[in-house]
Amino acid sequence: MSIKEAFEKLIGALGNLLGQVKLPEHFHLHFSFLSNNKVEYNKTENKLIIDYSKLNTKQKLVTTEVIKELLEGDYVVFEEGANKIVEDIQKKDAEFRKIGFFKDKLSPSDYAALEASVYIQSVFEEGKDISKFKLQLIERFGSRGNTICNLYGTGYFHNLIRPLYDQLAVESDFVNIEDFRKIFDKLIEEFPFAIFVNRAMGVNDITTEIENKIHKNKKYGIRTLNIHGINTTNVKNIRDTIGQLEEEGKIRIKSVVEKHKVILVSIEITPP
Amino acid sequence: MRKLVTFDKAVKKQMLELLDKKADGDGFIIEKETGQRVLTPTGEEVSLENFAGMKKGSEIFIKSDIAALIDFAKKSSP
Repeated sequence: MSIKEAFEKLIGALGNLLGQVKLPEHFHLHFSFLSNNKVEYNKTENKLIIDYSKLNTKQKLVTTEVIKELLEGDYVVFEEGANKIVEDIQKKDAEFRKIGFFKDKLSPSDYAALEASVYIQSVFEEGKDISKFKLQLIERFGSRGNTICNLYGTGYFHNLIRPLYDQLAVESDFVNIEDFRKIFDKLIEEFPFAIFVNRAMGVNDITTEIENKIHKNKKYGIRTLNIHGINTTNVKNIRDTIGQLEEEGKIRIKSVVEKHKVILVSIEITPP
Repeated sequence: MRKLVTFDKAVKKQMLELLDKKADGDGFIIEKETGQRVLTPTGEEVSLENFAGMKKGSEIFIKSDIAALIDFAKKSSP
């Protein structure tokens, strides 16, 4: 049975439910719960909507047969919400090209986490909720995925990690990918230059985190630390913490950039 | 026109039923006939919650998390 024949068979089986509606040669097939009808044709979206639960046994059998035939014919059966995300991802191809540089330099898993981060950042910049995607990212890639996402969202991939690779390339004709990955691992595991404040962190947690990083950074002669936070509570907690630490003379605030509930504080670690 | 059939989240179970699949007691999708859990091409089991869709004779399952959707989007780019 060809695809055309499959659709014709379906229309034949649903015939009496379609009434006077004349379907075009090509239309989109969608399954949903319908409040009144068993089938409904949405002309604007060129979409035939079927409520499978309301079909009779024969109509169900034909529908099942047709769907199986379509799947054999390279059709994809997809949940509509997920399909919208897929379409959005495909529209954002240019965003993904920005990270193409890292494709053969990171492990496949890290690169997949970076791709997810690119999408999450694009959704965030549209002002939409990203919490569901962040949870999915953590579920699949663990805290490493979350760190990659935080680093990408705050520009470190392009402002630090890529220049780091370029520097290695300047120093040597051939950059051993394994050497680069070791440095990358270190950055991901102990990122010394930044702290990403999350909702679970109160002022005391942020203070501890800053003090730990200061202690570590001093040992390596690193004198700067960036503190990132998103949302009103985190911004307030960061401001309270750095104010207190500055009063105590432990840090010197170099700059504070705050925009749309996003804050970036750069601090200078004062010598012991 | 893309070769696509869509369904609402609310009719996920029905769509699986139609393709001779169902969820087991732990919420993972299984073959109705054999009771075997279905797998993604990378060997992951698929829960009803994480099920986004399927292709190729209902044998290739696609999960709904963002990394799986990116992978699918790249492979099926128009």
